[in-house]
Amino acid sequence: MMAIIKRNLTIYSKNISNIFFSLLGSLIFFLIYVFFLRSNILSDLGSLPNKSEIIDMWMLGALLSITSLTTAFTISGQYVIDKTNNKFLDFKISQTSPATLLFGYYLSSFFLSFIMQIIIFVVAYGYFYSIDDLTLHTEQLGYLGMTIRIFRNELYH
Amino acid sequence: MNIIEAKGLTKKFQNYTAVDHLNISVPAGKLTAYLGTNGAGKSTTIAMLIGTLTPTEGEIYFKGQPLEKVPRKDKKIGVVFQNSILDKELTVWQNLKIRAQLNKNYQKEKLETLMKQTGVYEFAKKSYGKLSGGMRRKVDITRALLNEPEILFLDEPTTGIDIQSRQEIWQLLHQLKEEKHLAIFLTTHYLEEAENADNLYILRKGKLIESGSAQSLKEKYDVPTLRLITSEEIHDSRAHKEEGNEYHFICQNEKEALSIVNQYQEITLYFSFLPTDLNEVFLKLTKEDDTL
Repeated sequence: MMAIIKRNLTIYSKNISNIFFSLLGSLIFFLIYVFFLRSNILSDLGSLPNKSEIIDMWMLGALLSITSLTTAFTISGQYVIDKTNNKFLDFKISQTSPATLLFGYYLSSFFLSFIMQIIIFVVAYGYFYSIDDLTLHTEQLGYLGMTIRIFRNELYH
Repeated sequence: MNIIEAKGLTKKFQNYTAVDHLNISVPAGKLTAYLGTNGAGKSTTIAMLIGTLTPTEGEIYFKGQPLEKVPRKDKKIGVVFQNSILDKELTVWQNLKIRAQLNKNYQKEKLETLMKQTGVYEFAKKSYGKLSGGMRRKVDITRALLNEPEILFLDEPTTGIDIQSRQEIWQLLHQLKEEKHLAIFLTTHYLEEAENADNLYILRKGKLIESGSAQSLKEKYDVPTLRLITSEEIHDSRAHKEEGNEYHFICQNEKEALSIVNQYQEITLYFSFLPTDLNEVFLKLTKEDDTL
């Protein structure tokens, strides 16, 4: 199973266009927010205190939930590729059971989306920090996690 | 001993019968060739023999045991598919290591020894996608040998590969057959390759039409032909007239051919006398069947 996880992650990381397209959704969202939406929303909120911090955090959560989906989907695509190329058939002939193989694919998409979320978080947080000193406290990370969950549910339904 | 034995093997896809009551046995340490025109059911048969496709009827035995009852770890089968199934993005070493780790008891030394034996160790660090066709095939074969199989299935292993690489691959296969006492089951389009086989099966539209060793088939369908091109027309009851002044004589042996050549010595422009090769046997068999 570890072999499958390592393989899927290596194949993903070797293909630059794969990485780019799996992050394209997040990138578009981020750019639209930074260049258009942010100023609109800020003016709509009027005189709310800490309003830029609130919506930056809000958007950070949304950004991370998009990332988690798009990257997980991209690497899950490897399973489809393997099935069409008879590669999965070859794995099935090996001494590893099909259930373990599938679990390997599942875990590789889990790990990948986790890693990519951390990377996107660092980049986006760095940007927000540089434009309006957005700082996160430990308890706020909990809120962030909640926002991600809410957005994810929204996206799934 | 037979590693794989199939009895009454049949596969139907709705109304179409791809494979029709085949009886096949693949003995240990022998090379079995499986010939047939495109669409004759070769790949379907292989899929059933390796257990990835369930037959509609018939039984398959792996070392005397029904194939579906053989535990995963005891099913020592290696398969080289028609198309490459390794990852182009990864190096040869990465590819083989991942495949080896899917089997129990992965040992680095064992993998290295195998790679040296098959001659892929020299380019282990190269990316699989950048290798030539011949090199890729060698890596594919190495991959099929990772689980120390007792039988190796090859589906057209040398298609689209230059003659030199083809010979190297054949050398490797013979070496494996001798050293590891491996049973080899292969399909091929190159009939001259099948001449090396200990046993031949010829398939047409899902049915076995002939089996036996290459030698016995050649003897059975032996039609050595003398081709003669003369400067003027001849009238001979033995001759079969082709275009222009070309005549074909069916001769039983070299002596008979020589006497004909001697007889027409004065007017002969060109002659050739070739013993039957497998291509002719194959063509004859499949052609005969088309008239059915």
